[in-house]
Amino acid sequence: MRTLILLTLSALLAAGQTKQAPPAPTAPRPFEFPKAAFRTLANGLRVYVVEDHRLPLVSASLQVLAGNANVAPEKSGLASMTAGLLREGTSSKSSQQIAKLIDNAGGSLSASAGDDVATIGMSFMKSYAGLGMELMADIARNPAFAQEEIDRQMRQAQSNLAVQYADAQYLAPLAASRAILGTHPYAYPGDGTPQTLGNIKREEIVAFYKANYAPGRGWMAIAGDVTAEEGFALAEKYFGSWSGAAAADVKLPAPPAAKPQVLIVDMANAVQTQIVVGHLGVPRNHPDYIALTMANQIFGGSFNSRLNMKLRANEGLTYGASSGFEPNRQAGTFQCSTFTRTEKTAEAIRFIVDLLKEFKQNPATETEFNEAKAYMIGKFGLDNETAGAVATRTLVTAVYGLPEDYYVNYRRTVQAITRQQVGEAVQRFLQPERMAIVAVGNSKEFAKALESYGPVRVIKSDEIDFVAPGLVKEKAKVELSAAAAAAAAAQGKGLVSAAVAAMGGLEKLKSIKDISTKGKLKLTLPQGTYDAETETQILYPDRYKTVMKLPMATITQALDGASAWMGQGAMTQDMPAQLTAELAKGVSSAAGGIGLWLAAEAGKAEVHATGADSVLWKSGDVEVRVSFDEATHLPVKMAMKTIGMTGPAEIENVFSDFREVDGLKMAFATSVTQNGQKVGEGTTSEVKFNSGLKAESFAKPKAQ
Amino acid sequence: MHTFTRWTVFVSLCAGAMAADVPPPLKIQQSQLANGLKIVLAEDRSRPVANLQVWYHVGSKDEKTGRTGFAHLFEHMMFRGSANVGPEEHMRLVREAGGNVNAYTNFDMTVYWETFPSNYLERMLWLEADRLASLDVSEANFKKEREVVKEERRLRFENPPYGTLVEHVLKNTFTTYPYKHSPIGSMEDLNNAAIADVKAFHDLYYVPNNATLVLVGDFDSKEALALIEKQFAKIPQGKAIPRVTAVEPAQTAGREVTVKDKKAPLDAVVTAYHLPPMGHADSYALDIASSILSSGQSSRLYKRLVYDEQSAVAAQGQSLFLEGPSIFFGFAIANQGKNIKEIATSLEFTFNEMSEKAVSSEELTKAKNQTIAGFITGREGVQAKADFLGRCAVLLGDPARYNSELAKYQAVTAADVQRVVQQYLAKSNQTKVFIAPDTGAAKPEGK
Repeated sequence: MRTLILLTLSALLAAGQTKQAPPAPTAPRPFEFPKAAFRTLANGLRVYVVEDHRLPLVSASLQVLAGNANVAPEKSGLASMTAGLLREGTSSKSSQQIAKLIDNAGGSLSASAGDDVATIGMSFMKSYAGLGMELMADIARNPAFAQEEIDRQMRQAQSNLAVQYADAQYLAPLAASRAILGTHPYAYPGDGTPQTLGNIKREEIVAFYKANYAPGRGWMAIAGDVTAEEGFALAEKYFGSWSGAAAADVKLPAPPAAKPQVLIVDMANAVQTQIVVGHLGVPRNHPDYIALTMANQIFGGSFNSRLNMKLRANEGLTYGASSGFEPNRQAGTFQCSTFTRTEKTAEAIRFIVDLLKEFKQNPATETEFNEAKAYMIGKFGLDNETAGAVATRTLVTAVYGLPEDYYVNYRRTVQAITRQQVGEAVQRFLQPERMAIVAVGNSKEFAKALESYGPVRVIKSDEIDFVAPGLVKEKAKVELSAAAAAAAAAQGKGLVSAAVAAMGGLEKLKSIKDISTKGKLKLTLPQGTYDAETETQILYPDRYKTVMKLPMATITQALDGASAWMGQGAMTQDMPAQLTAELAKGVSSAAGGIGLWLAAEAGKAEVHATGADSVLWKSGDVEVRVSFDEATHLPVKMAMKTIGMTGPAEIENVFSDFREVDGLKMAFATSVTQNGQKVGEGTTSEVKFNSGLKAESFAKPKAQ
Repeated sequence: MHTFTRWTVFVSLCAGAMAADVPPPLKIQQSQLANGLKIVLAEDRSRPVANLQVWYHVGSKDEKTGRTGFAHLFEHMMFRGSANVGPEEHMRLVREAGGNVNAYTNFDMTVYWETFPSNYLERMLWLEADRLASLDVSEANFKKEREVVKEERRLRFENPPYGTLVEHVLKNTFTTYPYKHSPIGSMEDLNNAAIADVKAFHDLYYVPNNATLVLVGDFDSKEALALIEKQFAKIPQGKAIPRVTAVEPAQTAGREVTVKDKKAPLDAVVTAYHLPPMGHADSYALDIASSILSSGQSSRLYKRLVYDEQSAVAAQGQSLFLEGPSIFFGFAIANQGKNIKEIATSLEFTFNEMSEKAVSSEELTKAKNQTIAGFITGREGVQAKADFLGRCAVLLGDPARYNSELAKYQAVTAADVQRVVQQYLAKSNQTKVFIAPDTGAAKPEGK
């Protein structure tokens, strides 16, 4: 063999023609994925230990189901903020005391949140492993969430966002998530936005922590210079007494179907455009995941992939082009990413889309397939070289619901996949006609050229709001120009005056001190349909009570002027602060919005026309959209954002059956929809004004 | 080994809170081929993987006038084909083996590496030998690759906020020494580079007598050495390598400049100071000073600027040791609404404190523990080991320093730290660069 190669070499030197073949590999040394020891603690915490004595180092990682997907869009950033604050002080140690203990030992301790899970990680030298575990447990179990630390983190986060929002590389994936995932919980930025960070209050952080950080929602892996028994003993010592009710794992809604679209974030001073082309992917435990990963290797997952060879090597358009799956527990995305000089933007996108189309026609040549398979099998040993890497993969199987022996069998599974299976997986998955195309750069140079891919949205980088339904900041939308704003305000005032007159006149509205109504409500809930009798009382300006008699229980919700409470039968409890604010909104908008119109007349709210018969009513953070009947001018529709017991919602009330009571026009029928779904149908049987309601009747009954 | 550990525990208990853990030493074997190729081997058979690095002792400081960025551009050419390996085939042949491959260019060196399943050792050696022996790049591929590098420059420097900061700092800190330009080079010089330059550069610098081969991982040293000889011994030795002779004149007075940056959303400041080269006796105390200033949330700069004053989003004091005259950077980005001049004053005040008063023994121990931990985590995996081994072999001139450097950090005293801060972080040795958002540009969110 050796002689042969030498001969070939001399022939080559002589002729300068034939190319030498690369030396063949020797027999591979076997590598088995190290199997972690496993034990479930009595409190439900699942613990893995990966023993590796090569270095005097111990690391541990705790993952809990406390990721961004558990957060309402307008509170985006809550999961990251909660995780980030863990090490900023506990019930017994200040932020700086914790930092000193970590640094003095030369260790590291970190906490962060992803889409599904929050991860608390530590790495300490063996002599300090106990200290590392103790600190890790302290921050996981006893965080203080001091207001001062929250303020400090918020300020840092806002400044960081200011820097990141100037960076196209930061904005492109965020825009792609929203384009691909719509309003799915995975669609929103984990860092939050400048707007949503401002919405996060301490009690929400505390509530989020309590609801999600619990041993039953967690997995831990300890790796390094410990025996399995030592590892379990550490886990038991520091986490064995951890308690906490574990909320059930939430089933997220299905993500929206793929649709062709173009989303451009305009950065006028960019010299390069960041590009993402993608659509919905698969969850991590999808049966096609490995076959699709192999397909991705061929398409854009490596330097020699079709995508990178075309865009980088053959066209010189970019420094790198790649594609990949980002799989979460319940859904995922598939994204092709690259960047190119502004003038080549449209060309690069054309190449990507054409390559995707070609890939669906011809998913893998025999050579490509063999290379991808060899790569995945060969690289597995490299990927699991360190104890930390093995621990990470062990947690992946647990958190993402993969078979326990997934990595033990990984090489055999990959080996068994056929080229045909890869092709079939691509056929099932890829939809080149339905790609979302995202470009962050100097829009005017390429926006026009992208129109053939679908409807084009262009949003200026300083007007983008990643949680707004339309991705544009409200303010940016409304602030058209000073003149237009003045016109909208004047028109809004006219619409309100007409409505007030139609209802019975301003003096009549002002004379209303309290209202009592009785009626029936048909509730349509996921669990079924229920008929309820309702009694509502309002004492202006800030007291409200509604009693709902359902077949199974009587439920009371009330606002006593300062805080809200609810009762079921004889039991009562205070409602969280954010719900107090929600009930306060209800007082203003009740009874045809008497409270809204009086506030507008008194200059305590702004009203702008948003159409010929509609206005946006705004006071502080509260916004209500009202539509009036064209002929009668009475308010017939009111919509607002609210936070209900099950999370944020868009509530819309439609009013009809107007009747006159003591000279006031009141709606006797109301239809309620929540997020576009009808949830209730109400009819009123009795309305009384100024019956002399007393403040005391709104107070929470004293505990017995 | 075990006895040693226990002994260390005993000593540590006496000395205070010093860590008992020690990074395991690496068994290093070095040799040289007749053509000048230096070889550094370290067996680690714990996993069936290996990392190969070929270090060429040529970096951006060796570039000719008018050819800034060329060493890096050339690095890209090394993937564009050689006698037996077609363009981009190098990547494919490593990938097919289940390996990872890449390269990087710095001020002082250019490094090519592969991490791979150990049964592919000969293939990796063959690939590296082929492109050292012969480079075969077409004019068309050269031009395409130049565009690729220009995109890299846009990506890392021209498009992101603060991307050009480093270039401004280097340009103002160095008047003479070729560290005054960054390895990415200027667009103009990249455009002027020609295919003829590629051949000349390869002929001069890509010769066995300018290369060091580092191999760490799963192999038998004797067998590996035979394979290296087989692949590399036939490559002829090159001419003597020209070395940089420029001398940076000592700075005698502080400098200050303000640069407007359209992409910077917040004010930032860098204070740079000249330092002696890597491996200098003072460098260890300077690294310990860096650690006390910047490592972790209890570090002095984080505590003062980020935590207590809340004036900065980030604050750092870091030494950057190079083969030639080196630099210490103080760096801070202002929090929203904070005055950058006051932040710069705080930064300098923190340095002055260290020059006026010796650091506490607690802080010194902390910095040493962080250093030991860094040495241990820096030995996780074959690639991390080879990175440091290459640095010792090529830039410090002796691979054996891999096992002896830690002791130099452990010998640093509080008096050493105070002395080096006094000596190097002096006002007369300072270049201050302010980056101010260009108010003529559209402002991003959150101003």
